[in-house]
Amino acid sequence: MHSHLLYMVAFAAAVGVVLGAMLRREAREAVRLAMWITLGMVGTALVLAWAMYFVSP
Amino acid sequence: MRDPDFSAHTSTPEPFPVVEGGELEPSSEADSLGVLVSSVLAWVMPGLGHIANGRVMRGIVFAMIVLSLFLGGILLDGKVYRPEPGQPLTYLAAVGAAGVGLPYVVAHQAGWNLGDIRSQSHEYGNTFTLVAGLLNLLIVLDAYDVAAGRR
Repeated sequence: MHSHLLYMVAFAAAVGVVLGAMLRREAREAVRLAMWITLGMVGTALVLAWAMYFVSP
Repeated sequence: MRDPDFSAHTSTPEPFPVVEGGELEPSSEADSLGVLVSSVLAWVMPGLGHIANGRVMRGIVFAMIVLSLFLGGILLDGKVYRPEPGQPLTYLAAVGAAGVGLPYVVAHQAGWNLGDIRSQSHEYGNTFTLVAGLLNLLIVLDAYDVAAGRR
């Protein structure tokens, strides 16, 4: 069974962790940035998905 | 062994020597070679450049994430892009995917690069393998900066 949401969250988390570790020196700040990037990507995708629902033919 | 990354260290790093005109100047030929070797290692195997620079934890994190993303993409029936004549965009995609280094070569040699276009997760897999390569290209640039003493 394929979960599109799971794939999206896994993708966002992977990108978030890499960018967090790359852009922040301290572990705590890296984790915080990774969480923000992950949440931002997932949240933006969900908002866009709802927006597209309203403009769908 | 204390990893210089992910520590409570808060002091600013030593500035990289700057010559007139704003150009960065390596301190010696040995340093230049070290920077080159670190960058190549970072490209060949994700995380290895950081490990070679003593950023062990960071290197392990990068290796785990990039390799998981790449392998996950293959398991999701994604293809590993390669240049296809008559398809100009595949050249760009191949450059991105090849950023993952040795795993890209292994995937092609082992025949794991084709994917299954009938699979529901095919496009997810394509994205995973491509982004794994693109992320590793960023990691190579970061390894270059670390080796050059800028970070």
